Amino acid sequence: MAKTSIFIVDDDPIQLDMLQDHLKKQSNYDIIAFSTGEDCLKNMHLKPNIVFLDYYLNSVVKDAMDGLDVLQEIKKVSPETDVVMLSGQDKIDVAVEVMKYGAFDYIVKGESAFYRAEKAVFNIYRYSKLKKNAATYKKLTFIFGLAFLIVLIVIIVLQQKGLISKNPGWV
Amino acid sequence: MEKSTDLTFLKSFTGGDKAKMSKYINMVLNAGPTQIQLMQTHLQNKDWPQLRTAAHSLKPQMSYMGAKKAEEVIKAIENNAREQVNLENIPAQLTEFEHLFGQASEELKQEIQNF
Repeated sequence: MAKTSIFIVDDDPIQLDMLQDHLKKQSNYDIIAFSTGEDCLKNMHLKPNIVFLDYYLNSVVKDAMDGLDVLQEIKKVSPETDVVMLSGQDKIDVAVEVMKYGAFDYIVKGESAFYRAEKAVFNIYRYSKLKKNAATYKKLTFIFGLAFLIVLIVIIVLQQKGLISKNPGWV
Repeated sequence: MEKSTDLTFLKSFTGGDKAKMSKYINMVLNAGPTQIQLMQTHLQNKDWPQLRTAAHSLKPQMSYMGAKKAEEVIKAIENNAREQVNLENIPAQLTEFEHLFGQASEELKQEIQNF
């Protein structure tokens, strides 16, 4: 089974380190950490499964791209990559805004953020499995429906030509 | 005297790994003075967005060290700088934060020595 690849983007080295450490403890993920959105975007050709992205990215590099802009760029170049936004702001309007721009989830930084990040990875995995299953069921439904229709048409044609009786015989 | 830090979360997060705890504590101790200096510069320049940014990064760090009072003060600085309200309170708040950070630093250094 392919390893889940994760990018973490945060200009706070402590936050970056702690989240990386925590996720590595949970499972054998492939994790790459970046301190700016620009560096993350340069590596999007690697098509990570998940990006944990800080909302504010300009505490070290003053004019670094902010998280929302990076989110939009990620969704443009890699729509299948799920992005989880991280922020110190416990504000519903900020959460709604990032979801509007395509984030999978929004996590407020703090002690519970690491557990929530772990849950987000699990939820993303479960959601993508459901999507795959739904696509498979859709295909199977179409195939069986088509097969049933073909059998029905064949029966009707054979009955019309008198090759099979309309009366099954047990009536 | 009542302690200003609480390493319960850090112990749980690191599984009691003293090397990891030392690593994170040292990262906070090293980053703190620089951020405080930056906040003072931004305050002098009345650069409220940058002051907010500097305060914002210290907030989770105080939380991880269990420095609740320091966390409250830095949150207040961040809010005031972001909303640009109660700006006249920020100098006193920054002084208070510096004092609380200093207190927390001493305790954390002691903790590392006890490991």
